[in-house]
Amino acid sequence: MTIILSITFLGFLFALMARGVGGDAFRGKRVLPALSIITFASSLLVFFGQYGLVAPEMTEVLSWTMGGSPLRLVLSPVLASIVVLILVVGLAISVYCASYFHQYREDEKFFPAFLLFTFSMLGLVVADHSLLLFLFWELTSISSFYLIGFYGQKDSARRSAVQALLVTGVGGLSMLLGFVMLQRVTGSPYLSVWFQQSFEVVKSDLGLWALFFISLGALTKSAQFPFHFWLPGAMAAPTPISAYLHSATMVKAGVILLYKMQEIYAMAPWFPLGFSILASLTILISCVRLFSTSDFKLTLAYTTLISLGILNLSLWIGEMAGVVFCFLIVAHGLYKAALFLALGVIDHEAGSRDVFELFGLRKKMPATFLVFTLSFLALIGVPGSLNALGKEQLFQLSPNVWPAFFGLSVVSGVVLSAMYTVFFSQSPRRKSEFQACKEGSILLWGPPLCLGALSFLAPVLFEKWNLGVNLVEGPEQRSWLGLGNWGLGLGVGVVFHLFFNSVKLRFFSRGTDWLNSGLTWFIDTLAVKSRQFLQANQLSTHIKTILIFWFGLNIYLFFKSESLLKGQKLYLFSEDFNPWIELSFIFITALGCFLVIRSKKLLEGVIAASLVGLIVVFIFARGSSPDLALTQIGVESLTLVFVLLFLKLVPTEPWRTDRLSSQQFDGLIAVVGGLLLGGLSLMQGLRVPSQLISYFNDVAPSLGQGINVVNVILVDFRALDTLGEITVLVIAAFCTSLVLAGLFSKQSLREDIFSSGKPNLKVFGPILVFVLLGLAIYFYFRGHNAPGGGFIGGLLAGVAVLLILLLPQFKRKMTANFFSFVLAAGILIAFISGILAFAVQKQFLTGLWTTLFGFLSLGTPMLFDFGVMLIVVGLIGHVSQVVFPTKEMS
Amino acid sequence: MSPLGLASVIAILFGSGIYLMLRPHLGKVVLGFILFGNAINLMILSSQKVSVGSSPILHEGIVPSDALPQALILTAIVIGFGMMIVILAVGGRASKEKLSWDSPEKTGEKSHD
Repeated sequence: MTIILSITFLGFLFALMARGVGGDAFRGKRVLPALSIITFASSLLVFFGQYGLVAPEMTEVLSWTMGGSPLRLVLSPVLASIVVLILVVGLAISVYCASYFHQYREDEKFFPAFLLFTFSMLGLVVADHSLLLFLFWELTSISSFYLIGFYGQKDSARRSAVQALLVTGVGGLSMLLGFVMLQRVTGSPYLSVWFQQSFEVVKSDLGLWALFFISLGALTKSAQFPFHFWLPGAMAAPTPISAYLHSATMVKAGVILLYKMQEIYAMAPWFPLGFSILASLTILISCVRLFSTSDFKLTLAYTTLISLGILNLSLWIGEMAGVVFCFLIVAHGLYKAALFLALGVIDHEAGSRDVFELFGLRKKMPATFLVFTLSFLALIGVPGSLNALGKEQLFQLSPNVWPAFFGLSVVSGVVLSAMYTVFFSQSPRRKSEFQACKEGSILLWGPPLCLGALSFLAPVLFEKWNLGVNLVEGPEQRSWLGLGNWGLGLGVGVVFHLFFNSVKLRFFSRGTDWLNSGLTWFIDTLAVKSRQFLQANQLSTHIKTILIFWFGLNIYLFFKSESLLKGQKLYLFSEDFNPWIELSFIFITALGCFLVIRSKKLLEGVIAASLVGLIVVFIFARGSSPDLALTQIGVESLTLVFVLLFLKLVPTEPWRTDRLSSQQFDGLIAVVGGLLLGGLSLMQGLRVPSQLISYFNDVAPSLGQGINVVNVILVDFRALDTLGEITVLVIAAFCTSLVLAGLFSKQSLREDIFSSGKPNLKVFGPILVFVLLGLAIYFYFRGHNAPGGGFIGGLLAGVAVLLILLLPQFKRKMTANFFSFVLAAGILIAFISGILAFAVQKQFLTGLWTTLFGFLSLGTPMLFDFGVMLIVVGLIGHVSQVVFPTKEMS
Repeated sequence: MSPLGLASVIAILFGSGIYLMLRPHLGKVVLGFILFGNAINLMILSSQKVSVGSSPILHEGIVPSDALPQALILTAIVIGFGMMIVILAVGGRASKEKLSWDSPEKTGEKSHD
């Protein structure tokens, strides 16, 4: 199963890459549909090759990290049937879309999202680890958001996509909450383990709440009452997408989850009843809503809702629920997808989906008519079709399924009526200027035909499939219930056909929309009002809200936890306490902050802030942190330099003082915050030594080949964090240069600096540059065993680069984006230094050391540090090149 | 550094930083961000014992000081520097596009965007 998941994911990646590659000739050759077909076909081949024709029941365990819980994938016969269904329908749709999406670049939008969705849906079905299931659940929500909003120019499409995302997203969060709670109760994140412990789960309060939250997730996804309203809106998607998402796969995810947890829910007191009631309500409301529309696609959407209700209902009928569920879900997937696709052919060729506008298509589109007939026969459960098996089992097993009985009748009746109108009637029911059309290509009606045919072949295949039930039943199983169902369906169809045009009925059925509009209004108003209150269009209000909440929570927790300070001696003074030094630190900090607050211009403020920064340097130095002191001084100076360089961009008016009341209130928050954080830091200093540092101190000289433990941690032991950090720096550099592009003209700033007449910088500048460069390299090389390292070297070299860009003595032959290459080289070197470890089969970023000439030790952490240095230089150089352009930038 | 001294410095820096970040002018927000960043860095430092006269470099005879918070703070300083450059750049560009650095009026019954 892992192979199949990888195949679909690779298909998604390739489809994504194919978007940017190749010219029009490449695209015209239908590469993307071919890719998709290959993906699905190979997945099916792998599946049947691995398991043969007998349904597998297996667990695959993937351990992906040391010390975490391994990911588990579980296949059972029913789940395997669903997997095959997804793959088969996906294959059919890939062929279909080769012809459906022929407009320019449409398939580029479709296929990556389609393949991503398939990947996530497959993962959802087989995942056993609850968090993995949540991950795939949300992935399906996101990819279906893209797919539903496919025609993004239409307002209705965007709104429907957002609505679907909101409803299923909230459901997904609720489901996550339930999963976490269940993990608390049972001690394990695996669904199969939960099933084994279902008795304990059901007995505990926490378990029942967890089941409730999980059920919310399933109900939203499968559009059961009261969350049913997003499904009709999702019909704004193109027809193949509706065929895949809203008939065969995505909306089934909720009922699949319920199936997976069925045993637990069946033991819980109220849940089976509750689910049955909600399912029945969904069915009944959808039956009413069927009267409200003449759009055939919406009709199919409501019939899907009815079928989902039936699926939900079928889970709670007792012992054979799993088998019935399997038959029904596969049968529904096949015939509904066929119906949607065939409807798409009509839409594609005739240009309309309205049953009032289409007529007499039997002669003009015979192949499509054949497909419709085949699917309709599957729908009503003609003997020999898969649906028949499911229906018969369903009706015989429990009398409580009368809503399903009714729903199925309504579905068959309505579809029959619509088909009669579309295919047989000789004139439109309403006047229209609708023109006749011709049959679609075989690529369009072929796939749904195959799907329809599969509905009849499936029972044969299922015999071998080992579902644990004997499928070879005799004719005595054909009960009168099935016949009654057909009769009722015919009656409903006739009634529907005759009374459909009645205006009163349509108004009545539209009235059931109150829930949808009410909920939407409520959520909208809640969002607007809360935003107005919490943010009020001001950054400061937003920050204030966060801060007040944060402080309040801290104070509350402080008073609530008794054990925090009891019995702990609060260390206020240390052994090396020198009151003069400390008081002077505090005093100068206070002075500096006072000056910053009272500053009236940015430059004043930054100079005062640099004063404060200098005190921080001294604190670092006194606190035995030489690397920190060096870095802080470098950063402080460069901050000042960059503010000076950007100064011409800053608005020049002096700043006003604000209203006194707001000053006082903010001052109060600031005082509270300061005291809070000061207190927190006091409590931190309770001298609990970290466990890790003794390990690092022991291991650094031997494994890390260095005695500067800070540097060893940064570039060797915790190199992955540093890699993330330098990526942030690269992003910052590119952001800055993009934002400031073209704002600085070529020579102006240099002239400003040198026009003051003082020759010092011109004379001593070059000397300074070489000294700085030498220092940078020196600090870089000694960083592993003495204060220094890549960051500090990079900062020094950055200052040198700034001077190079500034001074007239240096001929700047570098291109306008020289430092982009420096940045790229830095990241590449850092990555390569980590990948080298793969050559000796160690993990990414393991440090490897060799000795040259007997005394010179070289290692990959040095390479990594060099990459870091390049990036810091690149950051400073890149931003400075914006300010001192070396060439005219167009 | 004694814990009390460090805590006082942190308190002052944090209070000033927050006060400035709540001002309705972008320049003061930037200054507040710088002070705030310094406060947080010092706070990470205070999580372990801050001793005077020792060193994170393992020479013989010197009690090693705690290197792990120092490594974390180093990355924090550099990232704060990068962020500050970006804020200044975006603010500068906004100013060039005639967008004021002062905060707009508070909303009354403004409808959502």
